[in-house]
Amino acid sequence: MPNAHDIILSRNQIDSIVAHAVSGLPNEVCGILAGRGNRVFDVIPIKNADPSPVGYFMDTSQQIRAIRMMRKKGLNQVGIYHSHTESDALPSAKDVELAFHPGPAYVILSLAGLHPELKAFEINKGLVKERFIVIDRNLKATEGVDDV
Amino acid sequence: MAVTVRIPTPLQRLTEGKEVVEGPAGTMINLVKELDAKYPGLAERISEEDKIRRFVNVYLNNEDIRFLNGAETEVKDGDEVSIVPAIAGGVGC
Repeated sequence: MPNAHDIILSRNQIDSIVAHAVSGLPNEVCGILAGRGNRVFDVIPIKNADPSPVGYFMDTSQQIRAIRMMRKKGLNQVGIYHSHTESDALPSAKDVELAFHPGPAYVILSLAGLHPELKAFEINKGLVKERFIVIDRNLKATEGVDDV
Repeated sequence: MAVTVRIPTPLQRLTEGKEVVEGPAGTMINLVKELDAKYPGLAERISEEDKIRRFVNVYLNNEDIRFLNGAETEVKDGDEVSIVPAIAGGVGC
């Protein structure tokens, strides 16, 4: 049974994060995981406004559109994801320094190895704690959630 | 009538858990200062030396105030201000 600190995603959602990350190579990509509690209902890719292989900065206009859409649909920001193209799926010093959102999980996808690696963390005031990722085969996306 | 200000989750502990607060019309930086008088600590999270912090986005209705007049942007009664912390990071250099 998943507990409150886990983050719950479907296989399709993980596949879509991987596909987004691969499509963005050689740069990092980023996005928001919208849902309720710790369950992800939607993966929302957000443009990296400062495209680089070593960093991301979420496009603020897309970010605010996503926030408004989530508010309208009664969804929360369950997670924030980004890719690491050449390093492990661990928060960098920059990730920790710029983690202004203590609630959502920081989900990092690494494309550095033979296979994609996905990990989730809670980052709060410089403290990093890993959160388990639970794959729910029955999780369905909400209907009518538009792309940003 | 007042200005509606949407507070992001990380700052709601300063606003007694409120997601939406109200403040007076005037310049954006004045609004931030007025809110700080009611909710101490808010101004230093949003601004520094009368400028909006780099990793804080402030929207007036649908416009990023960086593309308006920054901290001096005029805010009117009935406007909605959204404070949105940036989401950034990466491996770094």
